Amino acid sequence: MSKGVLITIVVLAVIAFAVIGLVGRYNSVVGLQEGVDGQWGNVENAYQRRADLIPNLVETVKGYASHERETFTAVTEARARATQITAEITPEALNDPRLLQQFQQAQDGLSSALGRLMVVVERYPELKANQNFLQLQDQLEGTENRIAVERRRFNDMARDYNTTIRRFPTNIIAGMFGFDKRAYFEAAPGADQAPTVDFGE
Amino acid sequence: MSSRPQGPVLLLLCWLALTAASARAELPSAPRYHFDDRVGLVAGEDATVFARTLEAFESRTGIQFVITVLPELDGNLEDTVNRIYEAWGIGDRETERGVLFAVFPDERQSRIEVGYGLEGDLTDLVSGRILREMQKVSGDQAAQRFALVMVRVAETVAPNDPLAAGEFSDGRSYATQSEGSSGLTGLIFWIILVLVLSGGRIGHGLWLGPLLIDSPRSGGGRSGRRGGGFWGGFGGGGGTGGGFSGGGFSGGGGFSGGGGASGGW
Repeated sequence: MSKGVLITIVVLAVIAFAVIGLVGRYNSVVGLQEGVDGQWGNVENAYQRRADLIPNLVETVKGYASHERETFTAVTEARARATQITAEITPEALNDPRLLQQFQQAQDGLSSALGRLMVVVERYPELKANQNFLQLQDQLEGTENRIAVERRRFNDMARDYNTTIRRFPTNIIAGMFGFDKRAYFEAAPGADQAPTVDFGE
Repeated sequence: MSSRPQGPVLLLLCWLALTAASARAELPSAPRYHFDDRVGLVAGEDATVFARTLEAFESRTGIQFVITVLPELDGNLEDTVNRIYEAWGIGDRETERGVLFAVFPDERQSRIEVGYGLEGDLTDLVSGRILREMQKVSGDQAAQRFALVMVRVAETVAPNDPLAAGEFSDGRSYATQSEGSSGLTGLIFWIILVLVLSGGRIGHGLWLGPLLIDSPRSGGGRSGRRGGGFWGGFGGGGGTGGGFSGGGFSGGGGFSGGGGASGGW
């Protein structure tokens, strides 16, 4: 009789420990996931900052190089595409690598359109000396850098989270509660290598 | 759960984590003082004044402003400085009010990295302007350059602080007018420049030149930034402390989102 009670107690204690352990792990996974989602907000803000800068930049360049119409159109269209897809991506959609890839493609498209705009600028020395343009150039450099920083951090956090949900005891919880793997940004060769920042002083 | 086939993947992830950790370990160690000259760009006494000034600035304003001079830049400037900022944890974790001014004299590059909490005040634009103004000061006058950056940053982020008015610790003062628009130092600098450039062709230069260049005021003795005699003469290197026994630097765990600007040196 007393032996049975003892065994019951031991079994209950083991279960209790296991549950407590699992709850702790569950909470830490939730924390990591929220970190990734929150960081996504920072990534979006950084891209938004760049998008906000573009109309002003295009206007300034137009003042000096009005006949480079194609370049302006390309930038404006790329910006519209990037803005549109940014609005479509919610943190919940982040576990869809294809969506993130589309987002990245749209943003990279904008980067290269901006890169071409900056090549055009090279042909207009007066524009390059314009104070307003110089300031926009500083700001553009700043936003490109912020994008790089926030993306790197997003990747680090997503990698952390993905590693955690695949490790042994946690992967059980992840399976039970449907924690999905998060997608990363990929380092696009060339296209993404900030040609926009290289103003060649 | 089928965790068996994940073995190799786990190993790979562990390896990735390890290499990531070692990549991070290559960043320079956290500095002991707010002014951290590891190359010996400025004289020990100036370094002490700057370290004390910045430390006092932090205790007055809560803004952690760190200046570092590093011997080599391994990789991309912006990325490296941002990682250093994060690794050193500049600025309070809550307020994120921190600034890092990093100089790589050998690569002739510099960067002002701004913490999240100061992005609104010390914008990319203002940072860029400060760096451009700094470059108008001759590179031979490293101390003046640092002093200028310190005062300009203080003017922007804490306009009422004594540092914004050009007050350094120990009652020291530095010329912080970039254009040489005023002050005896500016005048002396131009005289020296003319003498040096004229190569003694001006009559007085024959004897005045060497005299002036050797005078400590001109900073001429430290001029060979990339010269051969540079390392030897300053073997002590980074004499940041120099008998200075303050609280020193300890990071508050702040982050930077990549704000600031890059420039030359």
